Amino acid sequence: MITDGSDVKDGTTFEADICVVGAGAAGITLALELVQRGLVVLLVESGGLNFEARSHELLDIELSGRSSESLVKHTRERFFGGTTNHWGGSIRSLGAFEFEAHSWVPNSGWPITRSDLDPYYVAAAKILGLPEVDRPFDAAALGFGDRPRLISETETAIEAQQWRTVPPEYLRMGQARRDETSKSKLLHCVLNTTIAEIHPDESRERIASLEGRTFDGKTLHFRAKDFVLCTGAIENPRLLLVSDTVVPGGLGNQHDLVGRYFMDHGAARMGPLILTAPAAGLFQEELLADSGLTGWATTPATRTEFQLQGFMAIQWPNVVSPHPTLPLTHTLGISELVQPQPARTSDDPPRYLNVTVNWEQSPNPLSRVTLSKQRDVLGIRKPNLHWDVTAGDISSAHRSAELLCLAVARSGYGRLRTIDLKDLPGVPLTLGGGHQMGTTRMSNDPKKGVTDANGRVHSLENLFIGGSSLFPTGGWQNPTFTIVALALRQADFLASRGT
Amino acid sequence: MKTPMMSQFEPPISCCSRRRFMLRTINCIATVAVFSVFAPLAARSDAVPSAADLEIASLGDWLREADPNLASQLEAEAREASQLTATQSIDWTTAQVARVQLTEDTRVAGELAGADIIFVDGWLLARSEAGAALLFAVARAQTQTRLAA
Repeated sequence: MITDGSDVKDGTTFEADICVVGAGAAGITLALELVQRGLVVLLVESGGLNFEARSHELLDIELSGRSSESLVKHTRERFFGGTTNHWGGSIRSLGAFEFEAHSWVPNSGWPITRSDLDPYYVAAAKILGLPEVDRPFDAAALGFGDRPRLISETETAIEAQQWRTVPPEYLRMGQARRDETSKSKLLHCVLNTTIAEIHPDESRERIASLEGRTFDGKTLHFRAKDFVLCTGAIENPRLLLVSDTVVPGGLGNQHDLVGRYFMDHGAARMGPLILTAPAAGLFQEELLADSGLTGWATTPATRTEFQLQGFMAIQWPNVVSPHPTLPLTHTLGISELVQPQPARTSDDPPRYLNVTVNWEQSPNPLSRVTLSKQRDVLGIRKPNLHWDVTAGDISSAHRSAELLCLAVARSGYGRLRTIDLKDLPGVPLTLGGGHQMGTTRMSNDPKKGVTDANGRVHSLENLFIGGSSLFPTGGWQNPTFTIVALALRQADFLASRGT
Repeated sequence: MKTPMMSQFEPPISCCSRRRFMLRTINCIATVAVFSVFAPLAARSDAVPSAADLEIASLGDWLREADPNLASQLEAEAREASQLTATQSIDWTTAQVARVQLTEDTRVAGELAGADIIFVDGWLLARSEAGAALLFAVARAQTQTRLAA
């Protein structure tokens, strides 16, 4: 059932077994999974069924550090389906290596392993309309035969990667799962209702209710045995922090960890990649294979050897113009130097390719969400995001890019210009991948994380967090697949609690 | 909490960045200017540098500006590998011949395999390739000097 909060009488109290806040990838997945287990679920969404300026404005945020509107405001959506409403749909699961603690990355390490998520990745793939979790890059299996590869298969520093793309009918969860939501007798979705505060009971160890506000000034109440916040890595800590009427400093914040360790994937454009050898028949398998992007990532062995964070690159096909910040003649020089070129005709294959990269940030406590003194139209304090990028992050990205350049050069097919995160005007640091993560990280140690391995806020018996704010580290992979897998795992846990 | 360490993470507005930008701009202007000077002189020149030749020379200039000591060392190695003395003048024909030797496939492949590489304005060059770029820079400088005289 779907209800608009505006159509409900002021002061109404809703009750259920579990109340999920936020109808994005995590919230919708979790809510629908719980009703399949026979639980009565409330799903509270700040926006409506479609984009509306009034709900989008609630994403307004105060920014400092490296943050920019393009990083946080325009990469999130606030209506049924959440950010899947503009999601590109490229997915990869996190490899086992990403769950491990790395001595060279402070505060790294998940409290769960890849094998803990294995069955949930399988289930997540099914939900997203995919036949399998990941498809290993296999040129022969993909039907590309023995064509030469841009990066040699004997290269150990960099390996080819393949992304899956979610089919269009599964991509927008708000559309794909609307019927299920509206027809379910156990699920009650309340739209256009923004949670303004979480109220603990007298013990301060349990949540008693949530207070919601509508655009027309009504106050609604939500009671449940368990509550799950699935509002993203900026709004989840905001909700905990604004809930400070009873607990000063906000809920779950005894160790001053709520909002800290904000991460995004740093994004930059490398290149151009200049082909200095005949390109006919080359690269196709590493461009757009089947229905997914392909590219490269540094291998775990290399990351261990050089103490690097995650790094991946995607090359974009059919690009004939080199990097706009470089004079064309400059690129001619490099190709002439490394291998004299015959005259190029209009029938020749492209000589330039653009390459974009995403690099992993280390978890940094100074990169954080706090509360602004400003309030939104519903009277709720706005979040402030201070996105910090460390010298170590930059150094790791540079080194990884150089290894990619070397791998390309060794192939003999071309040269790739590395990134210079200090030099390319306007390119790197204001850009993120739109992958907000961290801020309520998981850890078995309450002094190191806001939640435990099941996403339960350490100091509260019945308050849970879902989504990418749980990620202790982000890896190089796109996060949504893992968000969905974690939601399925959390559904199992909540159902097993006997709620 | 305040963020007292924030400043240490702020990438500085680098003098190097400005210098590179200016250098790149100068290179572009120089490319056009020198090329237009050379064209009418083709008849009495040993060889006419192409736009690409001049860009290669710009890479050499960049390296000399960024790391003069390394550039001197690489130029010395390049001269030795090309049977050129330390003080021998280099015209475009000489530079081209040296480039062919220095960028020979086996030599470059060996250097790449050993990661004996240098990043020149973001471009990965094998050590010998960087040496070739420096010889092109010498050729351009010496030709400019000759023209000025």
